[in-house]
Amino acid sequence: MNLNGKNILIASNNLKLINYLTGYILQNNAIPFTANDLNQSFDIIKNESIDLIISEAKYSSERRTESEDLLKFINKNFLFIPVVIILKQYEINLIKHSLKNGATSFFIEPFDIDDLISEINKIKPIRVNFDNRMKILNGSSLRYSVEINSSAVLVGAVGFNISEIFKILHPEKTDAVNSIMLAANEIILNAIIHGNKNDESKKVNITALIESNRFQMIVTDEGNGFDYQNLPDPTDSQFIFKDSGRGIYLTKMYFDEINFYLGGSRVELIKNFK
Amino acid sequence: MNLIKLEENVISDNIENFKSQIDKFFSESKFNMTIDFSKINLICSSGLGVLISALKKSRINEGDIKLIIPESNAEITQIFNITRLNTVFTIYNSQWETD
Repeated sequence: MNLNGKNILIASNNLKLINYLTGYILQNNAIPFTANDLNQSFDIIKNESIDLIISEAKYSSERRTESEDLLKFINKNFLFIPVVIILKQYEINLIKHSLKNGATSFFIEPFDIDDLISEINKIKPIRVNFDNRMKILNGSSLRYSVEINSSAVLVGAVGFNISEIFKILHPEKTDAVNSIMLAANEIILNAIIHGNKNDESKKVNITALIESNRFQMIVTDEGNGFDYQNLPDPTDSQFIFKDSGRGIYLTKMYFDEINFYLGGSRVELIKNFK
Repeated sequence: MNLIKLEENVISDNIENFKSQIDKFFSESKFNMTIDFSKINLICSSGLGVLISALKKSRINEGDIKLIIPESNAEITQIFNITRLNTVFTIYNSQWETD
């Protein structure tokens, strides 16, 4: 990512850090925005088209940091803005958490600004194909489709996104939202882990068709499928103490139909409404 | 009582938080704990996986994990019934029953 003309948000209340970064951002023909707290950050992200966030990992409570909440907000709203985390000191748990929540990279103070810039140059800004994500069909149904990289941190965002669109057509069917969130967590996660074997370069395609009397979701991965006809019964006494193998079983409880295609690398879920 | 009161559905990014609450008790050698599902209505298969491995760990250490699932919580009750995990956990209707 070239800094030229980019909108960059600095989420920090450390004046020294802000001055240091804004000076450099301005020199590189980019536009700096600064936010002292989380709410200010959210406002700026909602209203400006931010290309990059540099956030200080400041604790907002004993267990959470503001940068963590910021990352969750970005994931949840499907924004995919790269976030660089700045830490005051080396804290392995904080780094692990940040990266797990989708942080692009991290720097520990004091750091060399040139290293930061060269890291920013390496960032590929878009992780998701945004084209035609949502289409309104004949006024009463909605089609949503998205292609994501095989990264587990995106799963919650996809589920949340589909749920939000679902609520536009079906504000009264609050219980169906659980089905959608669960389907995302089981079927998309299976596609990432078992289908694409966590290979981040492989894609998962998700299409949801929301109609007045039906919800359909199709998840396709790039893997070789699986033996969906011989799934072990997780309620069998021999498997009941296993800590995995309940995903599809649980999904069946929430949907009227589950169909497998392409040897299992494409899964279709259908839920009918009365 | 070592109580974990779940406030948010155990799915996606909340699974790690759920696991760390259990691990915190384990790290203090507390192998008896109660997990309260009253306030939530969804747990995914990974969340159930965390629960099962925690149950195994606690029982090896002569402890147990008890669950609070009110009968009125139809969603969670159904998840435990359909997976038959209601047969491996001791489940209570309310907190006062566990005392």
